[in-house]
Amino acid sequence: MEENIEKSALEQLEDLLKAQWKKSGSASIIAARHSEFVIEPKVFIGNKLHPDILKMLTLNYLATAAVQDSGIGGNVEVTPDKLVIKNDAGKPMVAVRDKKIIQQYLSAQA
Amino acid sequence: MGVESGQIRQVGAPQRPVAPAGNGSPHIDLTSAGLSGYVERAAQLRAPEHERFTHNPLPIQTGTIPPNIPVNLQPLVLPQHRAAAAGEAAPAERASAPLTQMAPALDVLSELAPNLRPLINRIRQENRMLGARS
Repeated sequence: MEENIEKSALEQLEDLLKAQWKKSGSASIIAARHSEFVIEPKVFIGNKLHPDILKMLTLNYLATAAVQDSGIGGNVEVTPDKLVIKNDAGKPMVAVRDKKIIQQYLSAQA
Repeated sequence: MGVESGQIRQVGAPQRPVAPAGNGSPHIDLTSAGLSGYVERAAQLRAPEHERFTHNPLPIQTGTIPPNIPVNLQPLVLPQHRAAAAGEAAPAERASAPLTQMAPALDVLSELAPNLRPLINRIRQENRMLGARS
């Protein structure tokens, strides 16, 4: 039976992010004898994004920002210990302390 | 046979004359009352499994609940009942509804995924409408 109920904007957003998350290869699948269960993250946990979703989005953002002509590299402030992504108003939105991610970003920029 | 005061009498038990056993050897009650008991027992053993030993009560104690077990006799109130009483949407409905507390997460999302901005703006708009309605 076709579902006629139109999804809300929030549900559409969650679906998009979950699809992206599955595509990124982070999805865990529990295979039973006749069924498969795909473990999906909750996109929003209270007033925060799910850590896995946040990490996926941050990596995507940094991969794009590392490209010189992407036009969004100006919002990234990076030191060897910390990487901060700011919004257009200069307010820090995401702070990354993972050395591996910072090194990856720096080497992509070079 | 009279019962003297101080004696204990079995009420309802058949009064079977029992032959005295010599030297502790087992004895067989050959009186008519005793024999009828054997006949009854044999009939029980011939009966189907579920009809046997119906006179034996199951070892279930039916008494008062021990005082150390708390007994909660309050009616079960589910979250949706509580929400309905407060005039709110049930949790299942609310989970998919936009929440104003999501604003910080939406800001981060809007920054990290600029291609999702139109959708995020629609959510913000729905939030504002919900806020204005309530």
